[in-house]
Amino acid sequence: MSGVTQEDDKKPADHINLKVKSQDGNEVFFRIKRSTQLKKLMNAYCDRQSIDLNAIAFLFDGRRLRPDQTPDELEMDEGDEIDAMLHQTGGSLA
Amino acid sequence: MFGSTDDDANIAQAVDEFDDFSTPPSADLLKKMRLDAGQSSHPSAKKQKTVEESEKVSSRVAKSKKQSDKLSKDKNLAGPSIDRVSLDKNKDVPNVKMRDANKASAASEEKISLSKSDLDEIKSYFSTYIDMKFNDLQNLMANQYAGLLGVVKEGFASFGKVAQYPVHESEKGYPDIEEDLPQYVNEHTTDAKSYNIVNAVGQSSRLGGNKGASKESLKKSEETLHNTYEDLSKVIILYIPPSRAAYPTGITAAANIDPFDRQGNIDNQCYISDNDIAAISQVPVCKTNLTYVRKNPSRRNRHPSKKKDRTDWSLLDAYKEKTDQHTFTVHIVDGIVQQLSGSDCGLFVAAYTEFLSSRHQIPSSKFDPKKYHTRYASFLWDYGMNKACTEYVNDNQDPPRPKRTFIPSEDTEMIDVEL
Repeated sequence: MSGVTQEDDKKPADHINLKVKSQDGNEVFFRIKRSTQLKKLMNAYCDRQSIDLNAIAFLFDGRRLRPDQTPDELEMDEGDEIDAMLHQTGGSLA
Repeated sequence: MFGSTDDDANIAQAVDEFDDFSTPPSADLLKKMRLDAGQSSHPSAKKQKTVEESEKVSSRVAKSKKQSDKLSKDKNLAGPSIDRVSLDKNKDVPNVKMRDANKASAASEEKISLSKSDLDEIKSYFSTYIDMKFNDLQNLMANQYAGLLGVVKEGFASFGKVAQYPVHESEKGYPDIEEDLPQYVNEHTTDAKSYNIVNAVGQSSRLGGNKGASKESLKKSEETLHNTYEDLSKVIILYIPPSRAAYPTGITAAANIDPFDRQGNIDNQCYISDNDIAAISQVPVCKTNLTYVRKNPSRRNRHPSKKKDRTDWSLLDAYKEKTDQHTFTVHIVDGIVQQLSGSDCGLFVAAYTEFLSSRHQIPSSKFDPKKYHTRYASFLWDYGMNKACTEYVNDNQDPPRPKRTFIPSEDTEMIDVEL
């Protein structure tokens, strides 16, 4: 615990810790630069989970994230949560 | 016309006498005038006769007036005094009656004065009781307003025989919709009883002098109010969303399949918020059925599509490239309610997502689309109202999120994206 906080102190301020939560409740933590595009995070998550990037919708506060967006752009804060949701068809006229 | 010249002259004199309206006309004249006025509504064929009659009457009146004037001159105030006496007599009659009534009700007045404090108590009791009941009703309505809205809408629809929602053929077959009819009867009876309450309260307040009667009416009104409350609660209870136990156990296939246990963590909580439901339901391309996507191939037997109009999911863009590389499996659950081909499946997707999110069984036959339409409409309405109350229109103008404290534990694995 304390070790982590010391590490946090050492870290530069432009880094941010984000949590990606899947539908089954699993949480994965990522450290990312505020100015880095979220594409990196998405790829890392999908590689780790062995899921295709196109099969997942990343949501932040209920809104879908685009790969080219950055934490700065979205005004993300430390510990913010991103939801990783599977695509679901339905809801339109056939 | 047929009247003599003497009559005309008399009429002229009478008119002259009536120039001064301060002098009251005689009672006979008034009576005749009333008669004439009553006859004025007769058909036009009789008008001439009535005119003649009125002329004759007025001439007679004029003559009698002349006579009375002469008499009054001779006897000093004889005429007016007679009138006054008659008027006084007329006035006295109701006065006497009133006095009699006052005498008769004198005893009851005493009782009234004695029971005024009781009356006040009864009134205060009534007001508090009714306030309390109304508060209960308000709470009930606030808690179950979606169901109540449905009741009211369907009630209006049944009155006006106007369908609020387009009913698909698939929806017509559900017995629930027709079974709701007795609830409207309840609603009407509650209305009638509430009117009874009002009447009872009014009577009790009017008959305040009779303490026993007021107590009886109080009891009656209490009973009616209680019955009303019960009936209303029955109506509302009938619209409470069915609990997990209420679902039929016939659809075990749908219940057993957990679309979110991608990693086998069945006990973990599903994570679908309302926003997610909206986002999920906005994903295009849907033809018939709710499809469940799984990462790993299921051990359970796949249900082959039996209906011809089922979606060929392998042709969908979202799954074209995934059939070989990734082992996503689409489970088609048989026996669940779905829309007809060509109609909107949004309602079903939203409802099933909600069921699965809250780990409820998906109902097969007892799914009432009207109810869910109303429910989601009320949610949206509530959401819009809250937005309007907080004076923001766009989602981007949401209030700032609460700050989250991020305390990773020691075993938290942190993945550095930058590396």
